[in-house]
Amino acid sequence: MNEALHGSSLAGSSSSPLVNTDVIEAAIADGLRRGGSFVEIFVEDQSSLSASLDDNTIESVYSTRRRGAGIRVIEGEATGFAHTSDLSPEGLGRAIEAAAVQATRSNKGVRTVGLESPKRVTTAQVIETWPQTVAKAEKVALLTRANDAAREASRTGKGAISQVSVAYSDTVRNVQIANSEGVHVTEEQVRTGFAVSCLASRGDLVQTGFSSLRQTKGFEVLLAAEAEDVAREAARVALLKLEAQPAPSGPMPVVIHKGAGGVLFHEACGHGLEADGIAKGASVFTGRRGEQVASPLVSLVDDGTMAGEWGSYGVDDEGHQAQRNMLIHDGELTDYMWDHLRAVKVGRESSGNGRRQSYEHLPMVRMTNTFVAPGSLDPDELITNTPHGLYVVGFGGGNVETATGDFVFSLTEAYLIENGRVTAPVRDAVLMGNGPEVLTHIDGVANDFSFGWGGTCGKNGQSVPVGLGQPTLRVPTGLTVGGTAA
Amino acid sequence: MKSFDEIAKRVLKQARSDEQVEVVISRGTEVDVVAYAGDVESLTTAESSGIGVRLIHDYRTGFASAGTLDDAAVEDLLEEARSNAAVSDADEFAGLAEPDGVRPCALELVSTELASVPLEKKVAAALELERQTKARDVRISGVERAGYGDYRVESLIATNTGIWAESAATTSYLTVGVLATQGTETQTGWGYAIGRGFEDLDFEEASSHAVLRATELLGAIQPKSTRTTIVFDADTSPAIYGALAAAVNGENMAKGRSFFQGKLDEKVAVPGFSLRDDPTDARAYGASIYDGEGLATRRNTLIEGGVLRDLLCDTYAAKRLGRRPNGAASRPGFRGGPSAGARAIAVDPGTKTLEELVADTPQGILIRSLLGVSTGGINAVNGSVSLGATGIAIEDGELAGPLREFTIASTVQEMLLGIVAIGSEVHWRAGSVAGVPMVVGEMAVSGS
Repeated sequence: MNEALHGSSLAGSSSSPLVNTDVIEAAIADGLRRGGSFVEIFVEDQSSLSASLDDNTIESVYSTRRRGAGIRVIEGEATGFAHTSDLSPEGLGRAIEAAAVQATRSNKGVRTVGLESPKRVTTAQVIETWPQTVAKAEKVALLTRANDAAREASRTGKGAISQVSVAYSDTVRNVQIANSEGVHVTEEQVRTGFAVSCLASRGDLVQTGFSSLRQTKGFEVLLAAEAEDVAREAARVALLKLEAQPAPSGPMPVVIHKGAGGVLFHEACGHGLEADGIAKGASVFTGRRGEQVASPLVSLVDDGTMAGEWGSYGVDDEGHQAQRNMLIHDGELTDYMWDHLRAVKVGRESSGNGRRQSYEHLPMVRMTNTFVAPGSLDPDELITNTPHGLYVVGFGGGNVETATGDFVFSLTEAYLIENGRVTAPVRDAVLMGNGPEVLTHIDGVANDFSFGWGGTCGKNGQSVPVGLGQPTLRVPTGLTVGGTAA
Repeated sequence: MKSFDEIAKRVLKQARSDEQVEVVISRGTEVDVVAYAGDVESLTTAESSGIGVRLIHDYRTGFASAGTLDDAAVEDLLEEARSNAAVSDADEFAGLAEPDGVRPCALELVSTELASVPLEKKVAAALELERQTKARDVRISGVERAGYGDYRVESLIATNTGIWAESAATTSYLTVGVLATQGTETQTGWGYAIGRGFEDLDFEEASSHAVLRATELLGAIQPKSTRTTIVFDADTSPAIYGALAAAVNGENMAKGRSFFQGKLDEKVAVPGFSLRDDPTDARAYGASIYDGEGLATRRNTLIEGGVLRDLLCDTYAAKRLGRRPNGAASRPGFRGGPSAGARAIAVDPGTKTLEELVADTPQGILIRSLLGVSTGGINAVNGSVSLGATGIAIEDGELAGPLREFTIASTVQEMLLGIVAIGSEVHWRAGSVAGVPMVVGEMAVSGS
């Protein structure tokens, strides 16, 4: 038995910053002296372990270390950015110079900022078992257990699980963020992910199933039977799709099961509420604050403080505390999401949504955990009151055109609704619609709620982890199913 | 700063006699300028470097990588990879590439002038791209993002099995995204240009493409559900060819993840369809002298005359399938291991331009953009296709009105057997797939 299982936190107790305060202070002063009006240093040290199993074999175990600093110097409308993996005073100095030269060509005189020692951010995230304290062999053993569980799910005569791949990853990300406004914080962020993909086959027919568990937590998320549960779920979906008929096509009422459709609201509404897109007029929600943009049943929230959720953190990648932001309240557009740059331009505070993929990237407005708040209806009634339609239990990925709000999502698990009852499973379908229109059409929101799988959100070439959630709800018009049934 | 040579030799020296060790080292520089509203919005310059080590012992594989070439970090990597190998499973097919006698082709992938282009000129390029794009059409209400960027990457792959592959490449590019507005309606369009060096970039190509794509969609309506002829242009056809690249991937084939299972040497497409992966073609963005394991790249004919002829194999896939590796390992830089994959997929062109293909189509849709390509809209395992799209209706061989909010559905297998024509233009774009127009006789269209 690994002694670390008894819960000590080796990593959590480290208190020395990645770069000493005096070095940071000098670098910021240098950036200001070179003419920047805002100077920021983002230092990151991230260690990851990932392991994958495919075709019954643990194929690779991979350790990755990433360490460096991103320096941002802003003057007027211009941002200069440089990054370096050299954290010495000289390395930081060169990056400061490069960023400052880019941001400014004038010298604004001398200004200095005194920084306190970094404030270690306390967050809602409680890590019980730090990944560094768990033996690799124990992590890798999860892969085999999941593989076995998935393959055992084969059903006699109804198809077999013909291929399984399993991926485990954990990440410990230490950040230190300081800027010329006196911010100086550190945080240690821990994320653990587990995902299973299955193929199910019968004759020539092959179908796929996927499931995952991703949390801003330590190894404790996988200590019970969770690995097997994820595997069984992936296997269930793949086997179910062998039984499914091709999906119908055309407009129809859609009931979305709790947790399944968070991605739809993330893509089709959330992205349009990011202040950078708003500022450039690239969103259908530009200039609509205070207006009724959705059915009065709809409240949309982005909340980076939720314990354990995939999109949570203590501070964002600009050093602002994560917070809960009401975006749409009872159908009224109440606020957008903001990062430092966009907030300063309109003279307000950031909403804690400034994020970046790594020190090699500039921060921008990003979502955290975005969800529709629960309503008051019984979820079953939403189905019994739908004579004909589609019941969506699983979404794959999706895309949205933010300027128009047009979106398309692939469905991984869906059923017909006939005469108010859920009947046959269908496969190979996408759901298409327009985000802002769908918001206005929602005519029933249930009193249940679930977060779906944590996802990876891509924007302008950067990926960040995000959480998604929603109660069961109904969209009676405005959605088109694109299936392959004749 | 230590040379690649020195670092690689130092790591390889740590290998024990019964271990196979591979070192991948890369170093790069980049510049990225974004213009907005007549000003520089952001300017990034950076240098980055990293090293990855793969170790195989007793048929067990471990990896470790670090985003730095610091002595201390490099020192620990081999031991870390060794400890990772110890907990992975023995796989009888595991093994590093070994020299196979194929000589690397002669390709010049470095623009020598790029290094001497001053930063001011690059900044001016982004600003000029924005100005030019905005001026192109009165309906352009905004340029969301106009940018210039370039990067240079040098890398080395070295093993204790005799591989030593050094290469370098430069890339420069323009990207522009516009908003076109008419009344309350807004549509977006993107354009880009890509080349090895600054002088290769075509501003006109980037800006006119973005403007056309945004403006031609203004007034788009939802089509009725139907079955009709679908014309893919050079922007949208790569989505389908990309699914083919996954299906001819040897590892996918070995693991039952290809819809071409059991189809080798059988007819999978119409006779006029041939597909090749040729990283030795200098025009390809993915052109390269070596593959991701350090073997020389080569021209591989995958489908010829409609018959599936070959598969893309790295060393692992080749061993699994009892074939020979054909220089087709791809790799996500020093942070990841190799796997079979395409670098420069292109379909043999036909004889007619896109305009002629449209003119030959009595009724159909010219597809301009696809939604959902990488998010489940194409299932590379079973070939099912169901994608969101925008496009232009074709009536009696003429382009009619713009269309949005519809999906097209079929399977890749059916599409290949239903190809009516392939276009004459081969458009090399970012990524590993060339755009070549394609007409598919019939697909299901779902709309109103």
